[in-house]
Amino acid sequence: MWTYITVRVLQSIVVVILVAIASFAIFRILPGDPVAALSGEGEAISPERRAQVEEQLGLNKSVPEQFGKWIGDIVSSGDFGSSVLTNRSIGSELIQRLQNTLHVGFATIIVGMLIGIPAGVLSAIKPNSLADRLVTMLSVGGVAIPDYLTGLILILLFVVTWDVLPAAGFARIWDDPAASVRSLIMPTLVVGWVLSAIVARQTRSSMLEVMRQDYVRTARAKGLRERRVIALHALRNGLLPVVTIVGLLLARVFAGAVIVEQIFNIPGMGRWLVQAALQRDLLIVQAMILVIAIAIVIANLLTDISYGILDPRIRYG
Amino acid sequence: MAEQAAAETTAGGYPVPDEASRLEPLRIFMRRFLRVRLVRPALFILVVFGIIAIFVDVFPLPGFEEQATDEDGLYVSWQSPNADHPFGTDKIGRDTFSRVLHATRAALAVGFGASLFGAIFGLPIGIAAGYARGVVDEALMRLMDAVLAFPGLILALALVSVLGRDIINIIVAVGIANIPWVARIARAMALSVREQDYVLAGQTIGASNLRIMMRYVLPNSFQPVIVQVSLGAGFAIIAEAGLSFLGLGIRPPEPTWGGMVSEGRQVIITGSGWWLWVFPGACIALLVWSLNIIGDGLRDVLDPRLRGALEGD
Repeated sequence: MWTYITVRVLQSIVVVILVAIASFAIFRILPGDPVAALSGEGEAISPERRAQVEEQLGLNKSVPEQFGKWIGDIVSSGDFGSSVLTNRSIGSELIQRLQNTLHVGFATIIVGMLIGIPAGVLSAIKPNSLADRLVTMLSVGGVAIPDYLTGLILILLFVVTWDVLPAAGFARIWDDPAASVRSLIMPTLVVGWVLSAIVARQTRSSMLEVMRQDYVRTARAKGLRERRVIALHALRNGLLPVVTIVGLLLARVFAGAVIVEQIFNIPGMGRWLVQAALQRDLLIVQAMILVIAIAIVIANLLTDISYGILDPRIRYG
Repeated sequence: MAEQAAAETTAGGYPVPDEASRLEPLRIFMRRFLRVRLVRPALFILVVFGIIAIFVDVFPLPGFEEQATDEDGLYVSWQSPNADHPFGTDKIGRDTFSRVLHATRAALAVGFGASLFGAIFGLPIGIAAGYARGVVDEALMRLMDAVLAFPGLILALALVSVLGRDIINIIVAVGIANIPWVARIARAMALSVREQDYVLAGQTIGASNLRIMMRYVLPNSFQPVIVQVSLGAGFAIIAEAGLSFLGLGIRPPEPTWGGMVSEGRQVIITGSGWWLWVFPGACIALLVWSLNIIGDGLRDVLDPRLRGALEGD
């Protein structure tokens, strides 16, 4: 087991280093004049401004030195540099934004679990039933219907037609619980229903496996009602593997954040990334994709390790 | 032709390998493929979109930039669907129906362009990793893991913000996210093919590694990669529309489905203009759905092991 964990951790460290190099490299392959592009001003940049931007970005140094300084500052003091356009420090705003994104993200995962687990259990108990077919349909739709479309459909229903929810905005649950829940319903449903399909599939297959086990047969044989067999015997073991996919779900949440935060005006990382990309404030883009990618690498690592703990077959020899 | 075919049939009634019998596996394949659930409607949808993309210019439609005017010369804007404009008009009087049809081109071009881009780079990377194994394998696959760590849309968004927004850049930006998926599949195929006797035979007669990869490993990796091209095209279409929706896609006035959905979003709160986003949105969903069904169908037919597993599920 420890061999497996060590190998996976080492692999992840290599991937994180590659991710950092990639995030850095993307912005050094700029076509044309990098200073002009990074300043956000284009070719009309004045010589003074050019010198200032070069100094700020360290572009007057060699490329390895630039990379070293960028990573060094981040690792040593969480300093991601500052926005070329507004001169504000990226690091301090990043923490705010990351909190908001994770706030919505965890709520989304809870929604996915709340819908997905019962749906998965139902479809495992009664294969080919209505619930089972619904789960299949959800997974097909979850892949084909993009997040922006789901978002607009929800707005059309909850805001325009029924007028029961605010169209946009965001409040944290500990600041204003009621407003927070209302503001989170639509954003969490957009990605939450996709997650629920993933959760339901995972729940279904692990429940089907558990229902074949001897102890379930024993429970039935001693005359327990089916409901008790499922609730007391099958569910506990059947739900354990579902925990392992939280990492996968988190990755999907980050991918969806770009769209969801844009539609519902949530001041998170996704919205910041889009604004920065539109204004070509590339240091922010660079910092955002680095943080998101590292979060996903960590999420995948935790997924694999939890799989390894639960299922010895996964581990290396 | 018919006589020739008849003449080449052996006494036992078995045809000697000729044109027709060489095509036999393809016919069996098509018959099985078409029997997979929902594959027929999915193929139909894909073909219809393909025809629209090719022939949209010869359709009797108003141009996608043409602004409809009434008899007083005023722009007919915000029209809900009617006989003149089946999908309505937008804020400056452009015909939504025409724009939706014209946008099919961008969607299919980026969809298949990005997907093929991923295959062209993913195949050699995966084959080299799986065939060489060891350090090369480890290095290439960690590199692929690094690419996979960026969600597709986010990677595309970052690349487009650097490269600029013309269609080739968008194809490349979306396509890079497809590379690791193809590479992983090709690697798995290469790992199994390299253990086959015919590879050993090739090595025995002194074929170079490059030759073995090109002649034996590559052809055997094609089938699963085709599946991935179909699924990858669906992802790419969603990503392209996502970029356009965020304002980072193909530049206006060239119509894109994502851009049209975004225009609809701006007015959705007024309760009007649903036709601006519902029709292009439905096109995205239909096209991606059909590509997914086709991809899954291909996988079911091409991989007999999976076929059994699916039926038993």
